[in-house]
Amino acid sequence: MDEKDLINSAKKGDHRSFAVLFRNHYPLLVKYLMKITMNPDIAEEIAQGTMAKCVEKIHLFNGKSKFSSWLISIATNMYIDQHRKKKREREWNEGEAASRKLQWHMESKNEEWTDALAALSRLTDEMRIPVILKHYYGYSYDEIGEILNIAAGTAKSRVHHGLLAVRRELKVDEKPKGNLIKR
Amino acid sequence: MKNQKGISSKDEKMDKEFFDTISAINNGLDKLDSMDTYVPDDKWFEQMVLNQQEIQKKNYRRELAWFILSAVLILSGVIFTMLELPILFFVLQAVTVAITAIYSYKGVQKQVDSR
Repeated sequence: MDEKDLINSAKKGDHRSFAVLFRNHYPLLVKYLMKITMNPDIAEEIAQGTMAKCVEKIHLFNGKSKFSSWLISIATNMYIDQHRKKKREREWNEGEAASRKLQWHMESKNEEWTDALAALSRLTDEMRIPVILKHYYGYSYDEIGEILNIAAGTAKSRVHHGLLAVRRELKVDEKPKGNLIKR
Repeated sequence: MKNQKGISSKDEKMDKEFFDTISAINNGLDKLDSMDTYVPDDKWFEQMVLNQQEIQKKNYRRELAWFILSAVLILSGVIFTMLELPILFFVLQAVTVAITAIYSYKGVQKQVDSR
């Protein structure tokens, strides 16, 4: 059964088709969320929330974009909403601790936590997400605009400023890490 | 200082720096991507979907029950006043029409003022 058939039977309520679709896309979804949240726990939590929302909203999927792009779009918006709700109660240290956990996680698997990853983890979400979508996943500015519900020009500007901030961090890492990029 | 194509060496340096930054970011993200992720088994996914479908059904039933209950209450109120208290019924009808008309007029007036 190909993806289109699976989506059609999932729309009819077949739970096995849903399960196959989710199992196939789960690693991609969690890894994407790990990159944008820099937090393995939140990544898994939002991945599960995304799947739950997908079950509820599958009738709205029109097949114009890839199923994976649709999941990415739901996951991104879910993360942004959750982040907005928790913004007041969340302390800055929590973000730092989360990325330190990811760093430890990587180093325990003999993977290097690079300066670029450290700089990326210190970017604000509104800059980090467009940079990752553009330069790692290859989405166009129009597509990023659609995913994040912003204008394509805004997406372009955020990518540019995000890159500038990372570049600055990489260039002057001996200087105290500045005000421009903070979580 | 500009080269033959009219691009300044400063711009070229900046482009190179951007390119290097993007490469460094992608390199780091590749490392993150290469880590193994725990994927639950098929049964876990099936159970998760079944649970979600059950929650949806419950929500749908609850909303439908609330809708029917409200409709029954409103309709019984209307029918009761119409049959037992016809004067009150017509007064209520007139008041509702008047309130709707006043609010619509005020809404239009606000729109005209804001222009």
